[in-house]
Amino acid sequence: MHSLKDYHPGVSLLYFFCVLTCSMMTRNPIWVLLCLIFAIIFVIQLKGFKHFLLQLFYFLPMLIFIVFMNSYFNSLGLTVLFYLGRGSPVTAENLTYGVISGLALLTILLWFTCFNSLISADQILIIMGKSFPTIGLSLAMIIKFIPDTIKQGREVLLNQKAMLGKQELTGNQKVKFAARMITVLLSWSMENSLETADSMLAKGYPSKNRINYSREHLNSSDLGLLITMLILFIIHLISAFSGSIKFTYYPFLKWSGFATNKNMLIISLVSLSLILAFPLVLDIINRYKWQKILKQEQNMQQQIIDGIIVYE
Amino acid sequence: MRKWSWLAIISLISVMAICAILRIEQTALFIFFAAVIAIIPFFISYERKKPKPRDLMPVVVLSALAVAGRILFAALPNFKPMTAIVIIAGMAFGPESGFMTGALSGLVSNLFFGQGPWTPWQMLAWGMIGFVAGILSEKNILVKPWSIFTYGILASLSFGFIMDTWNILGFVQPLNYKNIVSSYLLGIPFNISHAVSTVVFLLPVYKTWLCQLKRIKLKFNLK
Repeated sequence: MHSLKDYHPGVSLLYFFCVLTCSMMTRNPIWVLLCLIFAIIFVIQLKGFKHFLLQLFYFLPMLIFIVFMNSYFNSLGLTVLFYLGRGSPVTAENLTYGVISGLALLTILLWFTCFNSLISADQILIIMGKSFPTIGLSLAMIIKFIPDTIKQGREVLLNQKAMLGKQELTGNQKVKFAARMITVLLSWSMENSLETADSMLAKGYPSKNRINYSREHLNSSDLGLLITMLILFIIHLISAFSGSIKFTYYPFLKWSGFATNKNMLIISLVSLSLILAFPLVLDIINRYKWQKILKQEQNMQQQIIDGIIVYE
Repeated sequence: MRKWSWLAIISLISVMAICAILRIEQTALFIFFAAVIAIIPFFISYERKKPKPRDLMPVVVLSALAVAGRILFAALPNFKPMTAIVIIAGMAFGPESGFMTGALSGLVSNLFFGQGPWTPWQMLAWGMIGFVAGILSEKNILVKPWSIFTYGILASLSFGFIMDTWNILGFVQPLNYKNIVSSYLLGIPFNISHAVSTVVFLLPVYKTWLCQLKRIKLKFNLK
């Protein structure tokens, strides 16, 4: 369990908004690699190393696709490395661009892996329900109806099969059987859901006092985190776009922001790393605090045993 | 309200075109958030109608069926009944309900399969499939079986087309006709599997389902 889960979902959402924006806004290799490293660390922290390898294997075709599309079909760049078949030359420049683009895409996919394990379905419902109450309600009902539908589908199947007895179906009859089954299922779930709707109305549906499954309150520590992250993000955007981020691939690799804007470069890299390392730092701090509490507890237990504290 | 929805789609397409033509470095970022924003007008117009719980139910039930179907057929790559059900929803209950069925079943099914950068695109693509199906059937174009199947095939193919676009626009630069065409060609097998599944699911049920849904609509006086 990650300690980011103890906070309001808004904190995780803002974090993902910031890191996704940072990973997508540039193709500067340093930026992309920094985001990638932290994404990998976060995935490993949340899901474990094995799952990360599995993900990597799963996303590999996508990466190869991006590299191939970038370097096979264009001849930009000055340093020719080799010729691939009858295509245009593969240059160091377009190969680098392809690899960096592929890694940027990989980073985004990894962030979404973290998103899926950190933000649960009911939190998505809360977030949707705040701004779109009707749609939030529909989502909740859809999630509830899926297992119901599957369960009822099994029952319908059993009944339909029982009516057939020992009769074997041919190909065409099988299709008709399946179609009839789905049709029965549809009419059952429609009528059933309309009954639910009527009882909802009878129980005073458009009431303003609706509550959620899990209650989330934005307290002061959440607010502090949100504001810190937002400030860091704004600092990063300003310092990055004042020139330090500028990197051109064609005709040759050139980081034009490197020489001119040293201070801004340092500020933007530091703020970016702080944003990216946010959950990591939070987790370490919270673990440390927890250890401290445990230690105090042990101390007190020992003192009770030793008779220093009389505890009734 | 329908005007705003069209405006959202047109502005999304123009953002994508501008990003592609100007070769903006942040294309992936801009068009991702543009897609998220383009869904909002549809949601607001649905929310504005203040539907009664009864009128919510068609969307809820059909989305649940679509998601259940996608889960049951998850083993076969890109073979899913979602598109067929969304088309039927749009035809039976009108464009707005069609969009909501598509968008919500896209969102909910990704709760099971994992959210990703594809979520807003899937929501938009399935939503638009339902929306356009609704509009076409309002104009009495989707009446004959062959027109419904043609629409099913076209919708499935354009779904794959929309899914590929974000990857290509965002991560392949500079674009020329060669890499655009070959990227889309690589996706063709998946899209054909999708189109086949749509027709396979539409074929046996569309007639009975439409009839049944219209009867339910009349019986319970749904909007």
